[in-house]
Amino acid sequence: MTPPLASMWMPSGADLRLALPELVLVGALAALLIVPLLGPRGARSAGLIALLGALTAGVAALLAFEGLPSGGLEIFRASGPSDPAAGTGMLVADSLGMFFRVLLMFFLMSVLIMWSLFDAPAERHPTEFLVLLVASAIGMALMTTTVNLLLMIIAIELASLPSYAMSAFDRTRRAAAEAALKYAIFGAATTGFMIFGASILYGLTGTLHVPGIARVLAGQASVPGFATTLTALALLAVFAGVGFKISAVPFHFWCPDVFEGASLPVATWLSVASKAAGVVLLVRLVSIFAEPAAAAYVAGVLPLIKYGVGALAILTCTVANLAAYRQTSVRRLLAYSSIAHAGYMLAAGAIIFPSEQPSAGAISAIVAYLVVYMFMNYGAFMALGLVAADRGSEDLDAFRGLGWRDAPTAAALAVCLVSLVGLPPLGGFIVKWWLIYALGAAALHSPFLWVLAGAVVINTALSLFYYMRVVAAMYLGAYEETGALRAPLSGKVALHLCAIILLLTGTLWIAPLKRNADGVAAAAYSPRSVNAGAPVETSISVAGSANVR
Amino acid sequence: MWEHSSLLSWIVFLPVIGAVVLLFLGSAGQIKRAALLFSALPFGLSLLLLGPFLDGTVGARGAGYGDVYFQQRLTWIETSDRAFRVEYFLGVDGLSMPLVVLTTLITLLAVGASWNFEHWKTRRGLKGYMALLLLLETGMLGVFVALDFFLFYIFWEVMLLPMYFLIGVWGGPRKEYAAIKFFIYTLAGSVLMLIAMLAFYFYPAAGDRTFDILRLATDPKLHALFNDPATRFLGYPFGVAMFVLLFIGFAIKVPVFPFHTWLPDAHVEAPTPISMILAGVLLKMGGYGMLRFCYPILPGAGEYLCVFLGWLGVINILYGALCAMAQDDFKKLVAYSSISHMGYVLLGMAAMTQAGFQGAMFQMIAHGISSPMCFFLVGVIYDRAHHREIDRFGGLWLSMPRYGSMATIGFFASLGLPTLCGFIGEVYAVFGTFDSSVLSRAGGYNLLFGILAATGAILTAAYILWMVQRVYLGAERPEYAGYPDADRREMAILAPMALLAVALGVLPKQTLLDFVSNTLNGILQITPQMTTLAQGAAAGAGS
Repeated sequence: MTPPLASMWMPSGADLRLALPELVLVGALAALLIVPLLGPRGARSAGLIALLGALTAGVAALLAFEGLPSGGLEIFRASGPSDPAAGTGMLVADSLGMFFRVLLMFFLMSVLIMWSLFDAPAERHPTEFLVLLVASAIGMALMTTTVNLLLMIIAIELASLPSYAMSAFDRTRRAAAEAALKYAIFGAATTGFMIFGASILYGLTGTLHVPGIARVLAGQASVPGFATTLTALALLAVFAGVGFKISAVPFHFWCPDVFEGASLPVATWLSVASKAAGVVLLVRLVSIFAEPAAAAYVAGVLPLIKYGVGALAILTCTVANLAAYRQTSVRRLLAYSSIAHAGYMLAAGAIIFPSEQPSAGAISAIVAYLVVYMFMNYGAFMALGLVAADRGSEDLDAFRGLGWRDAPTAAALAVCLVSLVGLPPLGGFIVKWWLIYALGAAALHSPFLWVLAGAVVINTALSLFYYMRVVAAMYLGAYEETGALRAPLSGKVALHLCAIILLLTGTLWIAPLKRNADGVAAAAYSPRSVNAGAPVETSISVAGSANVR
Repeated sequence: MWEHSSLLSWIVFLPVIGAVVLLFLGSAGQIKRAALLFSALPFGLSLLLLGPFLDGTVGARGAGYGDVYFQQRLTWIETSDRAFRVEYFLGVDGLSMPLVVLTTLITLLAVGASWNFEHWKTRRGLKGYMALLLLLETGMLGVFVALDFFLFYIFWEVMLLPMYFLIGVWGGPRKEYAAIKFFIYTLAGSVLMLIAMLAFYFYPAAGDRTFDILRLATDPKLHALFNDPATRFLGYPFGVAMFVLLFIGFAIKVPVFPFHTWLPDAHVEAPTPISMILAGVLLKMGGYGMLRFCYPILPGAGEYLCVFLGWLGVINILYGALCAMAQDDFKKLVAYSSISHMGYVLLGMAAMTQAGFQGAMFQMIAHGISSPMCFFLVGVIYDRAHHREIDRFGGLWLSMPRYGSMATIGFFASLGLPTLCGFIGEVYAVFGTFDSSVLSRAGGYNLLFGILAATGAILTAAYILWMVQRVYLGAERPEYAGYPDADRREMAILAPMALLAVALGVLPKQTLLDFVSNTLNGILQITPQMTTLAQGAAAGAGS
């Protein structure tokens, strides 16, 4: 039976409805470009459009939660008769993706508020900036829902290219240009790696559909002459692309420079959104690769991913925490802190073992972590902005005596920082606890995860020192008497809200946070339930393995 | 009638309520009085905890470990699939009750010792100081009464931040260094506890998973699993690995050599009342943790590691005493003497005998009374002289007779003079060591350790007598002649500690040992039921 031509490329209405958040953002993008032509060109109207777009997209994502089947579904399925990828989707619609969209849109709105406080008043090109911001948000949203290698690369590029431009947006500052160049070169190199890896995987397996790749690899793993080295190389290259977005060590060199060179809202945006998208993508990839249960695959290919991601996690948090020791710029300190937190989250990516509910624990831990991480990082960056606005410096010295000059602001910042360390009774402790809890639960099958959990907790102690340097500057040392912080009230309110939420997530909201995270994780995309009826590409796999030799 | 009660919640959280109330008060006088009230109330309430121990309930039951009073048990965190459950579970037994009373008492006295806050030459808020002090009290009390591992950990960590600020903001010249050192050391130790907590939770089968500290020790199924040499953690015997992880966390707090270096810094830089709390209560958390977690849950590992622990105890005793002898700084001397005294706690536990355990416990309480007293005595003279160099003092007894008498009681209690509290703990710990069958089985170490520990007593006598001679005796020096004697406030703080030092020394059985012996013997009774790790390991080595 030949389907009508139109259905080969026209997505169905149901698919479009599930992609509504992205479509709304695209609409906002268009509106941002068109509205200035019609009249209002100020930062205010542009900001409002972006805010409305983010709000609508967030609500759309929230509404899309309803009616999502458990296990998610693949949308935008290719259906051409001659298409080798027939029946496989480009995107998935599932609870994890929708959760991430809600989080991302909320965060986008928060960053817009920060932008309107610090950058917008002096911004000469507000429209252009916001177009870039929204475009990167679309890329990040796509990153977390793609199950196709090609679309994955496109999504990563869509998230990255506007980020390069955004970090260089303040053309008058040398540091910004330098940072953006570093960022772009690093990005280009890792994209090259990723495409290289993707093409090898395609050559090995004959498909770009990630669950398909996993299944073919599982089928091949027991075939004599299975190219383990080549598979490892390909996986490494693909994960390097993801690692770049997360700024995992050794792909992290751009991060502190970009955070320092870019404006504060951009740094805030990258520190949470870009990393969160990367982490969700990584966990999704890992959970897909964890699905097939063929013994040779479990023994041959999965350990590559498990030990690879685990080693990356240990390296990332340790290197970042040690590098943060010497920083005197609080912005760079927070940059290294964000790398370290990416490392903690990466640890969840090493929870990979075939079982009835693969990776649910890891996904749940990541979901909870991202929520709290967003608040603590936003709070810290907001406080940094407030202090910098008042003192004109982002150095540690600018924080001296803040605890006595402006007790509420300092207390709220201290809450955010202590939460970043991960001490009870704050949210940062609880999510770290859920993370090592997930590691501990999985460690029954794989004792290596005890080592990983150990690395995470020891790094917690390591990180204490540099966070406390800021706290010590605020409270302990000598200082000059200079009244309260002259800073926008709305910024202070946002900071206090973050602190209150961190206190609540660490005490009264522990159980609700965990329940919701579990709910998201339990209903997350699982190729087994989605592709139960899909054909397995065994014939292609044989051809693929023949090609290798 | 003593089984269930919400009394402990009141004792633990009254200080927090007080801290919140303080934030709304204005004048210094009001703040001080409120702080005094909110530290006196928990002390008053904590005396009620003596009820079941005094009226014979505990003795009549004769039950061992796991016999807990004033329980309060609520579900705190529960996941939707009920796989994970943390309880708000409080209770006291013979092990924790004396420490709770000690904590509330020392905090009350510390608030009194903070009364001359205005003279500390710091512009920084009395309000914040008192609020943090009360917050610290909640953390400390929570640690002693929590019977859920997760809850215990939360309290354990909650205590760190107030202590960091109390040392860091109101401390001496090197306060920043001392505060962060204290913080990092303690945190580094406690994060290892997290791994142990997870391992205790996940090793048993799904239905048996629990954070209940008592069940971890008393459930035979869990016990057999944890102490089975075949249970492995990353290739090491599970019991030994967990014992070591927990031990490091607690050892840093005690502090045990070589983790002790934070202590002289923290003690010396902290203001007097905070030193009192550090020495009086915080150090006891380490010993309490070992008696609450290591020995009941992993007795096999305790036996396996007894020689190692004994060595550490002996090193603590001798090394601490030698360091104390070398100090010129009065406060540092007292700080190192704490290290030395806590060595007896460790040695008594390592012996794993009734006398050893009771000696360890007694030494903790005795040191919890004598060392805050010593720190306060140092503080009193520092307030007047503004220096702490031992060699520059002399003849203080002549110029300050009341203070001198109190100092004699305090330092002689610390020295271990018979009829004062320090004596009983040391003697019990040393006798327990001589008697120890585990140490003797391991190769006759009981005699060696016993002799070395007894030698420590000579060193202790040496450095304390030498110090007393240099500071309090001798000819009166003109620069100290006009100093006012201890005033009523200072006497009111010193007198309770002096009375307790005498009472514990004269009536050790009635004041403490009767309360604690049931629980401590209970912990030892857990041991013989075990498939001992030591035998398993010996068999493994032989094959």
